[in-house]
Amino acid sequence: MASHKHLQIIAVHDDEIRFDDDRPEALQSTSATLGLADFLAGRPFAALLAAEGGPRGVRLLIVPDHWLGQAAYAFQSRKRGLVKAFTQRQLLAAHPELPSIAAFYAYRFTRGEDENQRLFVTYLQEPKGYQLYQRLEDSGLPPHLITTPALLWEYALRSSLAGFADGGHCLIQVVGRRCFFYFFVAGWFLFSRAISLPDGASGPDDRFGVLVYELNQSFYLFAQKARADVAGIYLVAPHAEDPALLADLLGREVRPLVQGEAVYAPRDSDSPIAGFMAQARHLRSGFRGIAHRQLKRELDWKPVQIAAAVVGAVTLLTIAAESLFLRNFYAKGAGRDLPGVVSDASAAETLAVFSDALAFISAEASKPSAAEAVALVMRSLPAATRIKTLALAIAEQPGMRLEGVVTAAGHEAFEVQLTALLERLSHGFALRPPLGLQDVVCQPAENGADGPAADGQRAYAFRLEFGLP
Amino acid sequence: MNDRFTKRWLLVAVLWGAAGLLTLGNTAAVNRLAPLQKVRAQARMEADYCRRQAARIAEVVAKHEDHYHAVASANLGLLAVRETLRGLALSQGVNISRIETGADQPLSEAGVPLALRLAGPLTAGAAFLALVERRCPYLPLAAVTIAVDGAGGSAQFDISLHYRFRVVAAPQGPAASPADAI
Repeated sequence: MASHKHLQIIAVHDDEIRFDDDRPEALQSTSATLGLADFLAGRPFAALLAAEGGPRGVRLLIVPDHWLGQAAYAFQSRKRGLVKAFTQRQLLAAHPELPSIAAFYAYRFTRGEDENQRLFVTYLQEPKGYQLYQRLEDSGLPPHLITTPALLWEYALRSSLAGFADGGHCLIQVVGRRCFFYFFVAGWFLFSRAISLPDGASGPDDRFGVLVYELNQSFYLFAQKARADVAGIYLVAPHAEDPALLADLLGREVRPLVQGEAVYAPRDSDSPIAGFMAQARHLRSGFRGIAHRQLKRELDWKPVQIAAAVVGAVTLLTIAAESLFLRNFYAKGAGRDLPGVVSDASAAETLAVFSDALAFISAEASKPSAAEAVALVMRSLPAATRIKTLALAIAEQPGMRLEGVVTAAGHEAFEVQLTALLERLSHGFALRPPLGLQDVVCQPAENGADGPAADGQRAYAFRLEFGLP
Repeated sequence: MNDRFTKRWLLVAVLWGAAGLLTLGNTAAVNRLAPLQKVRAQARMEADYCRRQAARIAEVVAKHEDHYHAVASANLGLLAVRETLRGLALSQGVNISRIETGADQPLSEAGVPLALRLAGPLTAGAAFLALVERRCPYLPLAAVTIAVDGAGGSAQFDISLHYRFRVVAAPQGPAASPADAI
């Protein structure tokens, strides 16, 4: 049971129900006592705890020991689902008159003498317990944990006695005119008994004389149930000399519960939990009890739910801020012109015009110049070479067709002249590959104007075609 | 008890559900914005480039415009071209014997083919060609055939040109004026 700021104790003893409200921060304590029957019958009562406790209070319901039952089963699995189904089935089968019993149980695992695992179940077996829980829930006071004085003592002794987990132990609590026996084995509560001291007892000897008889009966019962002897006897009583007196009568050592005396010293009440209630701050954690399964689940999941809600809220806020930012950004960006003189559309248009113009000019520049081509041909002509026809294509598939006449002494001289022409043309027009003699169609010139010259020279006609880069 | 438990889970579910829905919405918004951002970045780059290269763009565009003859009408443009060519030929000492447009070609801004025949010395004809290329970029030469007459250096030029023009409200620029062109 976790530590909380505010503890509320609802204790049932005999026919009364007592509400105690402890506020550590204010050092303030309030209490109220009602008849249990009246409370169960729905009699109006001042909603003291409900009003002052608030939702953060932790409510502890302390019921008589016999309201809780205990059962042990041989069960090998520790899987929560299997244990839950098995336990509920067993409890409902054993107590068909208590349909809500499946919601009011707790379990632990122990090892039996045969070293086999045993499932030890504690459950609410008193029908009035269910009525009380319902009544408290209807009043807005559902207890978070249901426990008993014996279980509180179990925790207290485990905390204060070193060898409590070994063997059997008996605690005797004298409260007013009542005496309570609590028997524990291996550190766990086994059973308890309540004894009323005789009214006419004149002194401690008379009172403890009655106790000795009952104690011996209880030791016998313990030996039968636990198959062990009581190793230690502890007494919580109002007088310091009481342990020694009881030890003399019992013939066994009785140790006072010194450490717990200050804490558990009873006040003016016959209730076995009076001492606990006086020191409610000590009832914070560690002891066993039964929680309503749904309420337990709710309490177990509450931190997870709160964390999930907080993280979810923070996440939602962050994402909402992001969403606002995006919407704002989108709204601004959708119709906004770019900064500067040129807008989106005109920039694109300008670039398109520029691109077209650049492509056009590049294409024009790549075309050969007719004037330069003619001039280059004229410069390339050897001395004895004449052009007859020059055809130049520029627009499509630039190229040149050249027809001319070379006057030479013979074909060897003609070849020299022609080679020189081809070299100059190739160099001038940057032809790759350069022109060769195989690109030239040549033949002797026809008689007439182009026939043999008077000085023995001969005329050779040639025709040449090539593409321009 | 159970009611509070359920309500808390409902609150968690509502918070996380809303967060999930908003996340989906935000994802959709981001997906919508991404192409727009790309377009805007492209446009911004283009605008920056236009601003930085404004002078060069203007120069290139103007040079491109020089390749089109700005005229009030196609016929007037042709008339101007004829006069320009004759003037250029005269200045180089060659004689234009014929200027023809394509008879079946409509006068469109796609261009008008022109056939030109001139006669004169080979060097003068070459100078005429150079002058046309330099002064009249809107009259690109498509083909040139030169027939040299014997050893005298006289030649006949058959020249194909492609006249490019744009009809504007009023002729613009120096190239529009035949006198200026010469």
